Amino acid sequence: MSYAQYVIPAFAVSVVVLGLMIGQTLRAYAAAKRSLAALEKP
Amino acid sequence: MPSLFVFANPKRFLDLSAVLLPWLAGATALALAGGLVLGWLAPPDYQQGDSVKIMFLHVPAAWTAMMGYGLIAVCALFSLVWRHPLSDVAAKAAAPLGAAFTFLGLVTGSLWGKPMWGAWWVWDARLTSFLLLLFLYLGLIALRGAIEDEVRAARACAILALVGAVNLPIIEFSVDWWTTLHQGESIFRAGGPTISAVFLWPLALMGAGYTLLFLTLWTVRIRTEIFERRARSLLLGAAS
Repeated sequence: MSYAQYVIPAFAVSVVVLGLMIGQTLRAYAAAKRSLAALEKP
Repeated sequence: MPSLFVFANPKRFLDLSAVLLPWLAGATALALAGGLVLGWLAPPDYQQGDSVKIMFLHVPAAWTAMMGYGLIAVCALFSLVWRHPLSDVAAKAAAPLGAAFTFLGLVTGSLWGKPMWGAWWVWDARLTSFLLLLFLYLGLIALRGAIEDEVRAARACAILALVGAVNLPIIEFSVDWWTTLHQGESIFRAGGPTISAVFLWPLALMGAGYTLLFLTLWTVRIRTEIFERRARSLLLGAAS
């Protein structure tokens, strides 16, 4: 009973928060790299 | 500290981190996979039942949240005393990550507290000081966003980070200094851990996984910030 009520929600919220954090970090990295490359183009 | 400054050079950092990143990411994936498998296979605790598995998510998140703030405080000291720009970049990059791990620590702690204590939240010294950690992180992010000038923002955030570092020993020792509902230290204590190896191993692996994940994402965010600052200076150079 505690599995469905507490353990799975704890796992789900961890996956969502960590997933969002990883996604946001990688998107920002790709954008920064792209814009710097465009500026450094001769 | 000349040797530290050699590695704190942005160009050198970019070269070094490019080599380190794949290893960090690989080690993170391995530690998290191992921790999740062992955590899944761990038997129910005789008192906590299956809820003990929340510990494998809650404790590493709380550890990482505190480690993140400790790193920010060290960077703030370097930024204030030696005015090294990479220290400020590193402090800025760590704040959102620390806030996310603190949020996770609070939510998963609450999901453990309800079946164990019968309450989602209590104004216990450990919980309250940990909630204050989240506010400190959010304060750092807000303060950074409120000041346009990078040098002034770095100085203000460094001062706030150092003042807020007082909260770290309060969180750590709150369970010893006050009577709290939150249990006392059960891992890093004199006489060794009090928890069974069957729970200690998944906890240790998840702790390593969360720490490595923080370090991996922190490295990526520092690189991002260096690229953004370089792009801004190129734009400013072109405009003038």
